Amino acid sequence: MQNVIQLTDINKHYGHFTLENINLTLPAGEIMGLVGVNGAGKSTTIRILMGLIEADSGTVDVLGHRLPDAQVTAKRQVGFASEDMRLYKYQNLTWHMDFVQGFYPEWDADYAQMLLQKFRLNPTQAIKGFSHGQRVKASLLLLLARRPRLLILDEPTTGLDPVARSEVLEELADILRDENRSVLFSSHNTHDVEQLSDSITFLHDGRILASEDIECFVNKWRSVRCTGHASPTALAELKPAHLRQNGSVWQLKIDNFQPSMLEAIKAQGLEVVEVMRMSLEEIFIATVKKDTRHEH
Amino acid sequence: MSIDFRTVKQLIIKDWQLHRNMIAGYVATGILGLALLGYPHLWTFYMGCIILLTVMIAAGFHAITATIIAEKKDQTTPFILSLPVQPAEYALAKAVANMGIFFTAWLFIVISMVFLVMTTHIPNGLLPFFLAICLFLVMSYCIVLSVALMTESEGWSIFTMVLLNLLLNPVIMLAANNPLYYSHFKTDTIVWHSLFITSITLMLVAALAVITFALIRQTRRRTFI
Repeated sequence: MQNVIQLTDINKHYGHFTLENINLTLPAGEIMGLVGVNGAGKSTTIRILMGLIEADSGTVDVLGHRLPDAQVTAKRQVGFASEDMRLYKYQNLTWHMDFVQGFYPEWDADYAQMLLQKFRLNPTQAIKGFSHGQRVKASLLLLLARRPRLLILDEPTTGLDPVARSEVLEELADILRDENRSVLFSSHNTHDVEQLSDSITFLHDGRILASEDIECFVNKWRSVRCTGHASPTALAELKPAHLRQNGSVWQLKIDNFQPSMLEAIKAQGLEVVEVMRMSLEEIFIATVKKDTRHEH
Repeated sequence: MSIDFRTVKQLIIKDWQLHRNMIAGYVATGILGLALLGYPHLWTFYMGCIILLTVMIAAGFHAITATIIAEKKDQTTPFILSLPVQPAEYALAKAVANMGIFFTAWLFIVISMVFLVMTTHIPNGLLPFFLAICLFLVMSYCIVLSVALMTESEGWSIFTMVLLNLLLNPVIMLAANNPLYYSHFKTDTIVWHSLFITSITLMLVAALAVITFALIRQTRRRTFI
């Protein structure tokens, strides 16, 4: 399968932040969630992907075009929206559609009309009268009607109230189901990513901690609750991402979980009470904490 | 990376559409200034001069603020950068759209003023002085535009703007007190003396040099940020 995004050994250094040795591939037709806390490097990675900033080293290929040199050719087939993107507030959506259409000969006017109705947007109303949710939907309309092969969305749901967020996610999920598009979707909200993505990439402190299929990834993690008395040092040999003791109750969050590990836990004198699958958010927090502990 | 002039044209048209009311406003205020200038009273003459100077200064600085600085502050730049546009096209479009807005107001005022001086009671000998001041404003505008294009910083642009505005009064005073200029203020003889030729040549060269430098620097950029 052809990769629509291929980042190879990307490094970018700023005064207080370094994007370090980023290797990322997105196969065609896949939806990838890029997850990280604020300041993890998601936006920097996406700006490099859009040819807006140049990496200090490494190569960037988007839809087979080397960036930043071929950024115009690549951007003709890429729909990009970011949380900090605003439309011209004194102009209406019709003006924006006419403007964007000028850059994209393949602009699909019928699809744009369909999205206008679906998103319940008034094309003659000035953008300044739109709610934040409507502005996000207007931005999505402007990029989806270009019929891009690749969508890059940088925190599109940030700042939305729960209702608007749910509406945007539902619409986005519908659209993504309908289309055979590749999508890179960044967020610090794991629920959004879990809802939309096929694969996930965890970014923390400028480094990729994990990047794989979301189902396989979640399946590798377990939260194990046990009771009894054991040596924390002995339990640490199991290399849990997280180990917490509360009286005689122990909780272990384990990456690369194997059923044989339960025997090892029992061998330490503990009784296994519960083995649970973990949510993406729990895994994300455990992964970040584990990485932070290793740094220190 | 070659420049696609169709893209540049689309970006220029966008800025013109967004700011056409502003241009119309400055032209309308310019008409008011010209009307006062042509009225045969000393106070209306001075009022007209002040209005015309203000319009020329404000048109330039407003254009820079609205098209470059406000675009960044209002976060509409990411929207433009998401389109198939390269840094060179963006910089060129910004420079041309800006100069188009400024020179529409400036040329309207200067041409009307020349016509007014030549056809009314205003002494024709004032024309070189008027033109020198108008060209100083062009030079100031080009310097601020270059700073704004290169830095996209509100702070640096305002600093340069204030600095150059502070120079305007001394320039007017120096020219008005120079016999090569003032000896013809009350006559109908237009004298294109050496000081005028030298000063406008220097100002035009400076304006052209800073704009060329800014454009070369910006159009060589491979990325926007």
